[in-house]
Amino acid sequence: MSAPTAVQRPKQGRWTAADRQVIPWVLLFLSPWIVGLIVFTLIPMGWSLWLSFTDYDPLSDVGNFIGLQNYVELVGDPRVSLSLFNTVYFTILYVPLSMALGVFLATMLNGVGGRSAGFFRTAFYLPNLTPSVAVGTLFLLILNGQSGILNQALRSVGLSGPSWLNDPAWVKNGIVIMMLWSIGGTVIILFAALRNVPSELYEAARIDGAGRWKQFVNVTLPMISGALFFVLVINTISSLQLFSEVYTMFYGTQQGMSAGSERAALFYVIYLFRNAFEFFEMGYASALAWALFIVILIITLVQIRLSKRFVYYEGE
Amino acid sequence: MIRRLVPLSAALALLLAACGPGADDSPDETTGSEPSAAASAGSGAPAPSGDAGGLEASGDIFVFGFSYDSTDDVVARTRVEHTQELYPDLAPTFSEGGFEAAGFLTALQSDDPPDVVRIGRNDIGTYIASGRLAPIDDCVAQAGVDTSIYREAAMQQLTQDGTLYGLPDFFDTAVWMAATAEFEEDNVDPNLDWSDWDAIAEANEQLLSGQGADLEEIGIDPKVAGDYSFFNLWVYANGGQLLSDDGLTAQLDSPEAIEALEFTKGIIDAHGTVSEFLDFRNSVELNGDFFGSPNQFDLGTEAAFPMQQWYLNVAAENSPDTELTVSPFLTREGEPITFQDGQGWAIVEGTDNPEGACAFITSMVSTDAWVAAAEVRQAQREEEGLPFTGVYSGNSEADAIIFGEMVDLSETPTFEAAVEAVLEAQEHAYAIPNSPAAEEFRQIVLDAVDQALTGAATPEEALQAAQEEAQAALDAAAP
Repeated sequence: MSAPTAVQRPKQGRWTAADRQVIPWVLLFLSPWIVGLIVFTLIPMGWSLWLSFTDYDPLSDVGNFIGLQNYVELVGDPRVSLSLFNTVYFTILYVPLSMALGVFLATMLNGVGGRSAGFFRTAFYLPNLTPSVAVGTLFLLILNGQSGILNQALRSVGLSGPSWLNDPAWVKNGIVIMMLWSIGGTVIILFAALRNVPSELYEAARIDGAGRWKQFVNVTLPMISGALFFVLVINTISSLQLFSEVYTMFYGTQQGMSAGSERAALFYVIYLFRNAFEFFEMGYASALAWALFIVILIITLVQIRLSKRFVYYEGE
Repeated sequence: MIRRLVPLSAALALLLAACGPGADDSPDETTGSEPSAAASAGSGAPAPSGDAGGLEASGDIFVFGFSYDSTDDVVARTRVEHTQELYPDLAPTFSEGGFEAAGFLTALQSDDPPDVVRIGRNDIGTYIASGRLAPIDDCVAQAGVDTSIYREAAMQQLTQDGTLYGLPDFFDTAVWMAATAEFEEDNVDPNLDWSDWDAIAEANEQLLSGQGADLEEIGIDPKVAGDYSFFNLWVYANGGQLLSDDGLTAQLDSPEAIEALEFTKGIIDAHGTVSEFLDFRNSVELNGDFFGSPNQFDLGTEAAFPMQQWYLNVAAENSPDTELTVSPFLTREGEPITFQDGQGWAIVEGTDNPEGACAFITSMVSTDAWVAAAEVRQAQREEEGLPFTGVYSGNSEADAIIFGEMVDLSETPTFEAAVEAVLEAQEHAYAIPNSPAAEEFRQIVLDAVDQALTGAATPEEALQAAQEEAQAALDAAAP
């Protein structure tokens, strides 16, 4: 009887000879992405980090190293705090609403069967395909306080709608409504997650006497919590970077069409853009970009940390 | 799967955050477009130009901030074609879009930067201060251009420390436009004394109809919400100035500026809140299409506002039967006054074809080019059966021919009187001083006006706060 032969397994993290053979091929096939990452992301990031320590003026192409001055300045800049407040206000309002509405619409879509299912899925996603500039322009008409269809609808049920475009107290809420129009991406992700919830779980819950609400709370939500977390992270980041639609509505050629938007619609990335390309303070704008990077990093890390408590991954 | 995607997506998104609005996030209007070759570009071989100045121009030039292929504007197209007849070996290509700062900035950083740029005269000071525009004194001398034919206020904006950096393209001035029928209906004289602010306020009360959410007709729109030039005009009319002549000192908290803001805010407040006022004004359904038909004159929903003279062309096209009473904007002493704005043609510093660039800009604003363009526009108007109200070129020699020999509005006395009022106003135009921080200064002023109009601050508080901010911006940008 011979002794059992020990199977040689590579230590974790070590590459086998076979691995080494395929590495060049892996790198070759990954190279378009790697080159793209280096050229279009890492180098610009490094460059913007350097610019953030200078007073670079892109127009005159002159910049001097000024250390942390841009960062010190942005701490005391009232427009930074204003734009940050506007951005966070929007995010706090938009992200939960987009998720709640997304779950609701995805649940409805999940209940639609037959030939109409494809139609409804397409219809829900269609707003996402509309260019953001077109969305901004469209909502200038929809949100007009006097003749916009939103206020007309409110009037038809006896409510007096606010001036969504011109009353500083309502401008951001109007923007939330606009952005909720295009939550098709969120809906599709949540819809896909809902489709993956095993029907046996609902069956078991029903046998245990759970009603529809209890099934939703105790089966559906935990089972789609991974998708909900994904949507939470992505929507938070995109909210903090909101730009195109709002710029179209209140800045650029539309400037002058509203009052109060100069402050109420000053979102962080808009202020960043204006510093870079309208006021030609590229160094300061770079510092703003890095400050935003840090804010997003912190928020995302907190979210990931909290997710360990609330997110259930099947198979764990 | 989703779990794996989360950190990956989050990491990617975080990476992108540091780059601000990337290409995907940029609004369409800030992305540059590829230049297109002009229809009849020449071979580029040197040849006698035939220009009055005797320039020899050839080769390629890239013109930023102007459209040729993508526009049906005959004034633009005719002048380009005139230039190409004059310089058959010059091959201009165009950015095919109006000037926008981000696109220009990007173009400057490219391997093939623009040779010529067309910029708003109110913004050109920033670009001159940056050293990106080349002096053109030698250019105009070589081309034999008599610069005295260009309107003085426009030339002031194109001149810095005695050096010329551009030639004016168009000369827009503001006048009062009053819907005669609306005034007569409310027993108000359409030839109102526009120097008397009490009379303006009183007329406004008489002319407006409804209020707040039930507003039915705007009496007088002072045009200060979101419009720097018009607020500037009210301050000038009141004897003040927002910016010192050298463009380096903010004067936002002067008594004249505060009073002008208080007065214009009062005019708007008579209609309800500024929100209600603007909601009504911007509603196509209630107030018509400002650039189309039916417009506010057709609907009888706006009685008077100050506006640049080009709106007469819009009115002539869309509401040729509307009776308009056009009067110069007046100071409180009764003197005509108007800001002027328009574009400026400039040569980009470091161009590799300075002769071509010089030939192009001098030809585009030459008397012959303007007159040729006006002739085509006139023929077009005649064909359409619409009155030809002229082209306000900024070239007084061309204007003399256009308005002295070509414009005949005897069959449309409304527009005849209107054009006379505009021509009178042109003689009293001032230049908004050049500033090294033009855009930032403008934004600060607009913000202050917004703050006052929305009631977030009194006019005095808003302008005092803006004064500090504006001065800091000017100091930071000063060369």
